Amino acid sequence: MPKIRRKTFAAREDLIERTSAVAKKKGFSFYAFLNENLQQTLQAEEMGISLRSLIEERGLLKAAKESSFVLGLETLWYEMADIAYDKAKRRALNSWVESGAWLAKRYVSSGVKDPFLAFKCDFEAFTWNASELDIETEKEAVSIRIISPKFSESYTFLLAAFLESALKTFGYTRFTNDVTRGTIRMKAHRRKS
Amino acid sequence: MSGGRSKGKRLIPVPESLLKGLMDASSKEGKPLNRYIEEALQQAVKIFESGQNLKGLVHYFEILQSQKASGAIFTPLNVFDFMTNKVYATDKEKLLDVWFESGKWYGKYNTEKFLDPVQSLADLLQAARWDLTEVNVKKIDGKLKLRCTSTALTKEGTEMLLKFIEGALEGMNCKTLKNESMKGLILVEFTLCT
Repeated sequence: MPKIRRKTFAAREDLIERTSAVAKKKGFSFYAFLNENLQQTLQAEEMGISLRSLIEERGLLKAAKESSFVLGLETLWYEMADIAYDKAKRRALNSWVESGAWLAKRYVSSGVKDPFLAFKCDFEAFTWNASELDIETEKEAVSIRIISPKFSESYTFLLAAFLESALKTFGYTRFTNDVTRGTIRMKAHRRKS
Repeated sequence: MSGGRSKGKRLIPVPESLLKGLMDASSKEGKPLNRYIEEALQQAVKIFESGQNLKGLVHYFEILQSQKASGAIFTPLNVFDFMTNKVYATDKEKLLDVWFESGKWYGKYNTEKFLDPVQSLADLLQAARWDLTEVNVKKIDGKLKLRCTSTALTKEGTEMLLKFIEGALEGMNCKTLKNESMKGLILVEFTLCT
């Protein structure tokens, strides 16, 4: 077998120790683990994917699963929302309101330092279909702006009901809403805690 | 483990060809080689420490990217269940048509996007439909068998998912030979048409 030519690089000892511990746990030698992972890193980079984005995207799916969100084709969701809204508007709105409250409650009770910030981050990540989405907080006020020409009218109203309910659970009151097909503008305030 | 030491650092030997690839990648990103490798190692260790592996993550990434590109969105599960039950009660046929057509579109998209569209459909269902406990495709006697099981899926949800799968198979130019479903269980037997 031809001898493989090798070169060296310098790496921090603490990192090598951690890598070595993980390799051992997985039943690999340090060098086999190192080489395989560096190879895969390069392959991912060749595909235009960084390791950081891999971790972030996996985190998104995990967060969506924990928040009880399911993935489906946008057109399918809109058509179903349209039919449900047309047949039973009040109950359709109610189901979105309940979902908004449930989701917000999940963050409030999760023990994270800033539940609203955690909600905001996840909601922004889940709502990748919106062309524009801004959630801004200033002192005790929040303003939300969502724009998507693809949203159907019923979907826009249902999503607005979902958001309002979530914000209420976070303690926001005094809503000023402007909702039209494809556009949600919402402002709310809460008392100082 | 062998290797030289200097000030909390250790020299690690790697194959020259690998190091060349790493050098190219690091210079493309404008980072010193050592920093690039350390960052890559840190991320890899983080991935493994969280019980995952790089191959699996790349796989998830591809699924998610294809979902984004195909216009998929997240919806709260109980909203989805409400819509399903409400619409199913009044417009069952229309609803099943909508699911079938969506599946068909997805099947065509999948065929364009992936080398093994059938496995990719199974992967998508596994990754995006966490109400399913098991999704697998097996080749038996020249026929393909897709099986989905779930303890959470309603009867209506099962029926619609079956329609989506049937649509997807048609979109992928497959011929459904037999299908069976009951609450929380879908079995489809099909062949690939050339």
